[in-house]
Amino acid sequence: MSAAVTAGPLVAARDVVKHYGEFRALDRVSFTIQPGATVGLLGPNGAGKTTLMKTLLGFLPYTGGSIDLFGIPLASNPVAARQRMGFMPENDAWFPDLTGLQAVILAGRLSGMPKQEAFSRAYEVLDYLGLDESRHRDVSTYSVGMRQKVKLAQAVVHGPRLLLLDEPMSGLDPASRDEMARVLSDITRAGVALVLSSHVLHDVESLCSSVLMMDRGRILFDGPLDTLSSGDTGRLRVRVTGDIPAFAAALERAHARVTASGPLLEVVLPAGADTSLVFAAVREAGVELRELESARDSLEQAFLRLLGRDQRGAAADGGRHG
Amino acid sequence: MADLHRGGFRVWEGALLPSSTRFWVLAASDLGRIRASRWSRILVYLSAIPLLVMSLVRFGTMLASGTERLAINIEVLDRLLSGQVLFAVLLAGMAGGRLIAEDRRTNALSLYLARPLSAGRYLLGKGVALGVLLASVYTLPAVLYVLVEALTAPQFELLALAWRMARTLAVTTLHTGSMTLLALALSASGRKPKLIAIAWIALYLVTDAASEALGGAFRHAAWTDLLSLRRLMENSALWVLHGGSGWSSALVLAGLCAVSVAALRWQVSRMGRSMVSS
Repeated sequence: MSAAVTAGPLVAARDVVKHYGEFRALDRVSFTIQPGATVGLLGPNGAGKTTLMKTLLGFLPYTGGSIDLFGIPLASNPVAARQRMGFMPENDAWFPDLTGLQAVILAGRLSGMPKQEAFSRAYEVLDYLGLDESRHRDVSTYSVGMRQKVKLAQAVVHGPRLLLLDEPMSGLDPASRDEMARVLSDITRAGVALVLSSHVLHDVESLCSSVLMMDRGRILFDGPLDTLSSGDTGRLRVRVTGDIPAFAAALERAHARVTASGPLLEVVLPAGADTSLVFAAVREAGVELRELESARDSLEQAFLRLLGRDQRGAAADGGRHG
Repeated sequence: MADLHRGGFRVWEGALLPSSTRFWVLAASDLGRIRASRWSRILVYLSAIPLLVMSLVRFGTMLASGTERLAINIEVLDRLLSGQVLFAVLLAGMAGGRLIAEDRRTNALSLYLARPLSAGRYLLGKGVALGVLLASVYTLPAVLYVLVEALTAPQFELLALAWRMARTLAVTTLHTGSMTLLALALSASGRKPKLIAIAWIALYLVTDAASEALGGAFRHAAWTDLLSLRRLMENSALWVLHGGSGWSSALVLAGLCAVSVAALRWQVSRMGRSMVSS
């Protein structure tokens, strides 16, 4: 019953709805995850990330829509759909009374690996993760970092095509975080798709090429990280020498919004305007233009911007309905 | 750190086995864990002593009396079973009480159920592990003693042996099956294995004492037997073996087992829903 690895998307979610009583935890969520994709799952608390994760794992039945995992409808066969999926939970979790090696072998065998192959693969994965010395110790005696590695070893031992990681860096010190990030990056280079749920935007920025941003059960953004952080096309970063206040005043007269930070100005152009407005202000103020580029948000800025926009929209909707 | 990327990450490409027998993997792993526990091993070894003693007594009597065959006293097997059930009760509490409670304590359920293993197969694996353990201290000695009796009986009749064996298996399976379900249901109700073990043994003793006390007060009314786990199992076994009035005990025991199965399924699926915490 090995899950067929389809040429299509690994995950195809269409209009997925999940209700908890009256509360709509997932609101017509649609997205796809292609083989080898690295997707950051972002959102504030209560956004629906947990519900989405549980739904993908088949722990929660969804109320409407459809989810196909590896081409298999999740609703009809969640066990088969999980065959080529690996999951690393956030919470501290280990198989009781087992050594690291035994735990990884058990994880492989429970996924359907033959005994001998589970055994040799467990050695290989633990060796890869640097747990070769301590593999014969009971997992309950491991440090937090070692337990995180064992959880990862259990998630990847059976050759998953898709890894769901829930806060994989949680509780790690900076050195261990770097180490985990490098391992995950290496795993994705081997072609394993990754969905990373994290509150630490830096982790998502360093590991993921695309983002699924959620709020109140809806998807706010689904696309490449570059697109998200490039933000509004009307935002520019300008550096000039000369009479900077005069330049800023000229821009504001042309209805641009200007935020100055020393010689660097962040300019938000009015709707429909382009960079010719900046050049006109340069001529008017008699300053020398040194730098002009599209302003890129950090992921954090983009996250807050999208979230703020969504909340303003919700408030406006509430006002209209109220 | 330096060793970390030695050789790089390799995706395993092999074929996976069908999921239908995966509960055996879980059961074998749990039996290995139980075997590693010193107290469980001691109880299993001790449970072999009554069989050895009774078999030796039987062979010894034969030798001492100079006869080649001995008559079968059916009460001897009953006495063996009533002794062995204590080992089964103790192991159901000590080993069975841990099986799900430990998984809850260490959050292992999120690791089990995120794999291609359904909640039903998870429970089946746990049940098989405990069932095999209890059978090894209860069913196996009884079956071996029936064989010893058959070997030393005046006439060796295959049909009679098969019938006696079938009844012994039916009784011991009824006991081990119901104890397995009840102990697992109790195990799923908490995260502290020691407390669960104590609660299980207390449940067995307290219900028996309560039944005894109420039996005294109400002239041994039949309903007082329904309060004792021990008597429920005993009377159900008698009903299986001989028919008669034990049907009400069998009915109550079957109801308790059905409630245990429903509670187990509900508890495990509830834990599945609540275990991702991002």
